[in-house]
Parts: sequence; structure tokens; C-alpha cells
Amino acid sequence: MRRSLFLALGLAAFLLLGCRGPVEGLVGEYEAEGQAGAKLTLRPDGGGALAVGAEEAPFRWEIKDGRQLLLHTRQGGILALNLTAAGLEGDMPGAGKVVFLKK
Amino acid sequence: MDSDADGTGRGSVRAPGPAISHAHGPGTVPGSTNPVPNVDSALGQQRELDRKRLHLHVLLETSRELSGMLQPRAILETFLLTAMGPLGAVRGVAVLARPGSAQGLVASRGLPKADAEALEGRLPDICDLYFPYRDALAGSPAAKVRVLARGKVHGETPPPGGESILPAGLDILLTWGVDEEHCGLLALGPRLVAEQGQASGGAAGQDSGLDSGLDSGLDEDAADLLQNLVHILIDTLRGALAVNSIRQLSNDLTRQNERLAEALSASQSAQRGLDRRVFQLAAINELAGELSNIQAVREILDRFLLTMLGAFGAASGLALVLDRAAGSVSLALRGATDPGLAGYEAADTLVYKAFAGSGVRSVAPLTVGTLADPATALKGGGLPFAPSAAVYFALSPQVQGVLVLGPCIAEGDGADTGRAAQANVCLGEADQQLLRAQVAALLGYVRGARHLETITALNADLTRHNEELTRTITELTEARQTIVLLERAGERVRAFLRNEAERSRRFSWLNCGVILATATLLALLFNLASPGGMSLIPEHLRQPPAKAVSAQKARELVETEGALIVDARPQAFYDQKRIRGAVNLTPALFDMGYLMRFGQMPLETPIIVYGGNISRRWDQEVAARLLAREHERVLVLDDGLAAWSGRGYPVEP
Repeated sequence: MRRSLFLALGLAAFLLLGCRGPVEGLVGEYEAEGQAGAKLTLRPDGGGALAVGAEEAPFRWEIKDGRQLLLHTRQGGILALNLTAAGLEGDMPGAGKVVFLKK
Repeated sequence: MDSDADGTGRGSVRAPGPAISHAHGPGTVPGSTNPVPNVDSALGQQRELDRKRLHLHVLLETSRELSGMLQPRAILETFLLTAMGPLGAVRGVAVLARPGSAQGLVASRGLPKADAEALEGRLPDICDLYFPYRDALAGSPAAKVRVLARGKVHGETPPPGGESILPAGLDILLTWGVDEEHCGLLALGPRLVAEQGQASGGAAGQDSGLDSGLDSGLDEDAADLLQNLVHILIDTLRGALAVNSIRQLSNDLTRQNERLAEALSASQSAQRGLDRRVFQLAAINELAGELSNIQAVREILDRFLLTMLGAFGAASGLALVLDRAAGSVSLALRGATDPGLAGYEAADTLVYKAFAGSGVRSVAPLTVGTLADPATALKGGGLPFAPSAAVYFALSPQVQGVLVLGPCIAEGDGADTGRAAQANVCLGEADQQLLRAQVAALLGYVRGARHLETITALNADLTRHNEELTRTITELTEARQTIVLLERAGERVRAFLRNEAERSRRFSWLNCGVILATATLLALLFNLASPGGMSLIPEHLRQPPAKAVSAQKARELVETEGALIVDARPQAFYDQKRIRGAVNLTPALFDMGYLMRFGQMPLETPIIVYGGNISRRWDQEVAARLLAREHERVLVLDDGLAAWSGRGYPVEP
């Protein structure tokens, strides 16, 4: 029993370390190219927000496969952005393809 | 009675002069009563010397005449000629006979022709009468000269009214032996002159009894002369007989040599034949050992053909087996290039010609025969060489074949070669019989190989069937194991069902209700405690529903007032089909979509929302959130995309 418990804890620690990912490099603020006033903020705690003017849309973010950034909205929606050398790129609802450049 | 005391077979020639001894003393004239003066004595001695010289001269001339002569008849005739003169004989007969066979030669002089011919005819009587002593004196020296007294020879006296064997007057008779087989007779007389000394009656020299047997008119000197002449004759006859015997022996030896040479040639020829036969039999014996280990018909034919070519010295040949039932051909060809006989049609033609040429009407199994004239019989059969021997054979009515040998490298042997050349083939009768016997033996090997092929095919088929049977057994075993496992699984399922049935008997609705209530309570507590918890009542149900608009009215608003159409369905539906110009804004991504697209839009702009089904009203949810953000003219398209497209209004893609 004790042995199984140790194994489970070891597996959980391994999964947490493995899922940690290279998040430090993505944390920061991004500004939409061609969309005046649209800003995307990624916080180190996994939270973030899309702000246009004075309004914000909060979300939680994570990295999938080291190539995509998934944004989880409060309404349960998931928005995928591709990681590029310049920043983030993806189809935003109602706006089409948008490129976010890191500030 | 012997004439030569030394036993050499030859009497010594008495030298004239002092060697002559007789009863009278020297210087005395026989028959004279008174002493003669010295002159008369000298004259007498002179005459005596002259006579001795004459005798020596006669002996010399006789030796010269007879020397070198090899024909006994010529010797006898010459002797008579040379002896009769000095002795003064008018007639003479010389006989050389072989008493053992009563044959011989008779030479005569001075006799009438009839008497001479009569003597030739009475030669057996002469042998019986004058040479009977040979049997009694067998082993004595052959050259003894006997002097016979005429009329004292037993049987010589003619019977009353009969005739003597020798003509009358031949009173001087001498017989002698030449060698173990030949004897001689010399008869002389009568003499023309009787000299003074003839009546002396003295001793006749070394041949005792000569004086008593010789004619009374023959004196001592004449007797010596005659003795010496006879010895010369004996020597000459001996030499001649010896030479003739040597010649005869030489001729016999030559003939024997010739016969030996012929026999040797025949022996060598027979030896070559035997060597060839031994080689053939050795090759065939070796072939039998090889063929017993070969299992393929084609390989058997090839090995057999190779051995036959070597055994019979043929430069090329072929062996062919045609199976009409299977339509197959087994061909072995050596020393030539295949002109196409491996094909069925060409092989069938060749085999047909072979059997047609043999004259065989029906083909019985294990038939073997030779073709008398293979060149004619197989003409046009497609052979790549001139056939010298051919053997046809039939293993069965459907399996037939032919063995053909090409020109021979070397000729055969002996009598067979002659017959072979006459028949325009290089194999003799014995070779062809041997070849036929070997082909008969070949049939056994070919039949065995064919049976082995059949057995091999049956074994392969049996092995295949065994493998299939093994696979089937394996599959059945696996199936059985599967069935066992399924039966066990079934047993477990049945056991599980029985357990569940047992548990179901223990189920109560109270337990179920408690579990459900507990779960609901926990879910509500978690939702209330969570900052992102969802509302228990959908937001659009808490607000007044948005106004509905028909598709026709909606199009008018789009065309006249620039109304914005919003597709509230998930993006997958939006990408599949949508109203042309519609913007995708789902409830799940409403906040982001609104900020990106609607944040700067005037509030009085009409917004027409569509997208929903009987279970989810995305259009109502989006419309409610737009109204919550104080948009004044938010409308929901009645019947959604179906009504729009049903009217034929534009959609995309």
C-alpha cells in the first residue's frame, strides 16, 4: 500500500514537471497588428486577458505540444493561437486572422 | 662285313702305293711263276701306280661332280655315270629307298626303258628283298656297306617261270645305309674287261666279305675303288638329304611361321575384340552402378548415352523418350546441336519413323529392336548427324523412344568389321546385340525412374495434405482452446451476472435517491463556491427574449440599414455553411469576439442573430448577451439558416 502511494506521488510529480513547459518565455504583453487598441496579456500564473479599450475578457492559457497556445474563456470556449518567432497568430472570433506581437 | 672299321659311317679311301697290301709281295706280278727282271718289275709297279692314280683321279672327279648336288636322283644318275666307266660296267642300277615306307628313287643306265620302268614299279619288292637287315641291325652305324653275292640273297632266285627283280648281268651288288631312314642299292655289271687281278680272290679291304660277295671279275683295286665311290655317294646323299631335309624343315618352318603369324594375327584380333568387349562390359557395369543412383529420366538418358558413345566409339548420339499421354519429351543429345527434337512434334516424328522402319505393327510393352538400315529408316527425322545404329523401344503403348548412335570414331574389329562395312554401319552384329541388350536394361531404369517420379509426386501431395491436415488440427486445437476460453469467459459472465443478479436483489430505490441527492448537493456547493461557476438558470431565460424577424425582413434590414448578421453556432457549423457576410460569434467565445468585432460598433446598428436547434439556442444566448451590452436593435432570425436558404437568399461558401 505504501509502495503504491509513493509510486502515485512520484508519477504526479513527474507529470507536473513535464507539463510545466516553457512558459516563462511567453509571459508578457502582446499587441494586435492592425487592430488598434487590442492587447493580449499572458500572466505567469496561467491567467490572462484580452483588452480592447477599457474592457477586458479574462481567460486561462496553456501551451499544447510546444507549438500552440490554448486560451480557455470563462464561458468554456477554447481559442488556439500558433506560436511564431514574432509572437502569436490565430483566428480570432469576429475578426479573422490576427497577429499579436510581443511588446 | 663292315666296310669302315672306325665306325664313322664312312670308309677310308685307300691311298695308292704302300697302303695297298695283298698276298703278293712287292715287285711280283700276280700269276707269274718266274722272277722277272727289275725292268719288268719297275714297269709293273709303274702300271700299278698309274692305276692307283687313275683311281684317285676317278675318286676326285666323282667328288667334284657330286659336290654341290642336292637332288638325290641327279646324284644317283651322275654317280652311275662316273662309276660305271672306271669299273667297266655296261649297266648299272642305283636305288635310294626308304624301307619303312617302301618308297624311293631308282636310277639306271644301260637298261632298256621297259626294264628301268619295271624297276620303278618293283621298288617295294627291292626294299623287302635287299633291306631286311635294317630291322635286325637297328642302331648300328648307317654307313656300312654290304656286298651281296648275286644269287645268295634270300628270295632273289626267281621262281620257276618267273623273273628276278634285278635284270640279269648285274652281278656287283652293294647295299648301304645313308641314315636311319634311307638305304641304298648299287648293282653293276657285266664288265667289259676282266683284268689280271680279278682272279686273285684276295681280301677286299676293310669291308670284310667283299671278296666273297663281289663278282669274281672285280679285283681288289676295283673293289676298293667301288667302296670309295660308294662312300662318296653316301656322303653326297647324306649331305643332299640333309640339305633337302633342312630345306624341307625350313619350308615347314616357314609355313609354320606363316600359320603362326596368321594365328597371331587372329589372336591379336580376337584379343582386340575381347579387350573391346571387356571395356564395353566394364563401362556397362559401371553404368549400372551409376544409373541405380539416378532418379530423373533425363539424367538417366544422358548418362546412358554417354556410356554407349564411349563403349561403342560413336562420336555423337541421342536418346529420346516420348510420353504421348503426358505430351512430354525427355531428350539427351551429345556431339551435336539440338535441331528441335526437344519439341513434341519433332520427337513424335522421329519415334514414328523408327517404329515404321522396324516394320513393327503393334507396340507391346518393353519392346526393344534394332533398325537394320537406320540411315534410310530415320531419313527426314530431323537427326543432326548420320545414324550408324538405332534401337527403338517401347516402355508402354504410350511411352516410346529411340536410341541413335552417330558415326563411329574408329573401326571395329575382325569379322564384325567386314559385315559392318557391308551394312554401312560401324557396329558389328555382336555390338548391336549388346547395344540392344543395354537398351532393354535401360527400360528398367527408365521405368523405375518414372515410378519414382510418380511416387515422389504422390509423396509430395501426401506431404501437402499432411501439412494441411496439421494446420487444420492446429486450428481445431486453437479453436478448442478458444472455445474453452469462451466457455470460461461465459462461466465468468454467468457468474458475474449471477453476482449482479444477487446484487440487484439487494438494490433499493432509497439508496439510489440518497446517492443522487448527495451528488446534486455537492455539485451545487462546488458551483456556488467556484468563482467561474455557471448560472443555474441560462442567462437568456432570465431576460426578455429578443424579437424575432423573418428572413425576408432580415434581408431588407441588411440591404437598407446595413444590419449585421451574427452566426451563433460553433465554428465547425459556421465553416460548413453560413449566410453570406455573417460573423461567427459563439456564446463560448462571446467576450473575445465581442471585443474584437463589436466593441466599436454603434449601439443602434441592427444585429440579426441566427443559429440554434431544439436543444441549444445559441442564437438566444448571443442575442441576450448583446442586449445585455445595451445594443438597441437585436433580432433573432426566425427558423434560422433554413428559412434564409429556403428563400434562396445567398449563403456561403
